[in-house]
Amino acid sequence: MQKAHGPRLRRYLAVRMRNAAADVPDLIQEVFLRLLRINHHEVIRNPQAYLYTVAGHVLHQYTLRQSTAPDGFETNDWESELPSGAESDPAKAVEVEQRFEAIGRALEELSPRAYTTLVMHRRDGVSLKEIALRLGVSHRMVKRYLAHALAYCRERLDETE
Amino acid sequence: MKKLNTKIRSALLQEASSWLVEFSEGEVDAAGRDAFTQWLRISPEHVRAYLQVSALWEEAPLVAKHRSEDHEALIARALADLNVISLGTARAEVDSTPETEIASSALGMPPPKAIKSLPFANGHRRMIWGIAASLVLAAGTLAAWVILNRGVYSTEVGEQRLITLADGSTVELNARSHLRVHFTKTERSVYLTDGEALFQVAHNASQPFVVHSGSMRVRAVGTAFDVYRKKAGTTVTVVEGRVAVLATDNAFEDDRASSPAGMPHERRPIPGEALPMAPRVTPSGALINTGGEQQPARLFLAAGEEVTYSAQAQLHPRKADVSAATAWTQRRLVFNSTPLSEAVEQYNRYNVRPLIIRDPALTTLNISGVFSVTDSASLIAFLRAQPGVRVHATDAGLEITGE
Repeated sequence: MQKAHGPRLRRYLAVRMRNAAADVPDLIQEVFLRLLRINHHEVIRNPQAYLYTVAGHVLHQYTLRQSTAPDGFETNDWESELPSGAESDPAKAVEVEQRFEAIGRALEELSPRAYTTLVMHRRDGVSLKEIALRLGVSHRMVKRYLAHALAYCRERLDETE
Repeated sequence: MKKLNTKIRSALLQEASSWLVEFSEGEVDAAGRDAFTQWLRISPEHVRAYLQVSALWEEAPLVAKHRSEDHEALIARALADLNVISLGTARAEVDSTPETEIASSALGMPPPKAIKSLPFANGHRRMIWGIAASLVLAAGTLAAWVILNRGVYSTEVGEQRLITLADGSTVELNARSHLRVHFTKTERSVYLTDGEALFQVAHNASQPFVVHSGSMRVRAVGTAFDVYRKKAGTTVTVVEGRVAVLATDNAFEDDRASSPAGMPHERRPIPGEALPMAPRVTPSGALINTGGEQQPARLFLAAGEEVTYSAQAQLHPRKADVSAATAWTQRRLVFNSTPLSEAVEQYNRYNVRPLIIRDPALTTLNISGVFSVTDSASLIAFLRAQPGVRVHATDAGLEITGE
């Protein structure tokens, strides 16, 4: 249940965040405040999914405020693999393309190990344990390569935003 | 928010990414989930970093699918690199990788380890420090205006002022503060009679800059430091350069500087046995000079150090949370395991409607977080989220009680 929900929510968020780009800081503030309001956070069994859900609601409400036209993205977007559809606006499409190009450039700059780990795991779904085995390093080490790859690419994106 | 210092931002992203990978591997236990929740609740910046990294996690495959390298090629490339790196380090496995070292050494902290060995308190403190640091760095660029009126400056609740003095030094005066300036040919004297100020001192070796706060004096030639006069005593935090902190002759007497006039004290030498401090080595290795018969007690503080003087306590130089100490210049409240009583004192500098602690047991409750001074809603929500804490709005203000 949790495992199934996390990635779907996350894909939904990824699309919504791109669309809300300029307003994201305010929305984040709202998400943060909502997180503070939970009194019994210890009962949350899956804080990551909880965060995605809260953020999803905040972004949803934002979208409703933004568009007068019925949106109808809700379930469709949660299911969709690709960020198409929601980015029908040509200006947005260009932005998204630029963003993906920036990610591509950042990938090029990664160390070979971080690059290999990210591509094999995220593109082809090879488990980290298997990557660790093939590289002859520990699982922990591969997790570190992956975290580094993500953090680095995200940092490079900061420069383009 | 967007100007978060890159080193800090980079460390935040590293932490966020580590959490994401742990969750993705399904390796977060109950304690880890709790630690993660705490981590998220430190600041909106943490939430932002996590959500952004999450989005990237989903976008990476969309970008990477256009790459044609097969697994053999990818692995071969990675192994070739590993061989180069691990020459001479048979235990490359336990060593940090070069890239994580680069990413984290900027903050002077060890590279992130597995989540289990990355206790919340650790990252937490670092982050609080970090966020504040970025704010402070931005503070240096604030435009100044000149106030020719020499003499007395004071601020009301929620008001801050930036003052440029005749010598080119600047003073940022926090809310509910009071400052008197008196320059002579041999000394630039400033009396902080209430509140807090951040001094950026113009260099002039022949005319030292001396800040008087109660029975403490801070002497500088050209440097930047924060002086916070709170109920419990005065804290001096050095941002840049070095200062000498001196205890005046009335160290054990009533605090005369709080008198309305705030006049300069006559500075007679104090006998060695009356010194409120013992010789010590500061974290930077600076020796404290306890002074001779003819000199006041003094110690030197370097950048990144602070000392708190109060009638009860000896002077203990310690490593400063410089950024937290000066976060107010960015209109931020930074609490890092701060006692509630002190947090309330800070909050009340900015808000006409005061927070009042009704339950004495709560004064020692420590809280951590970063808040905008104008966003009382966040702080109140935060307080309400603490176990065993209630906040009621009454005519007197916002009363904090236990359950």
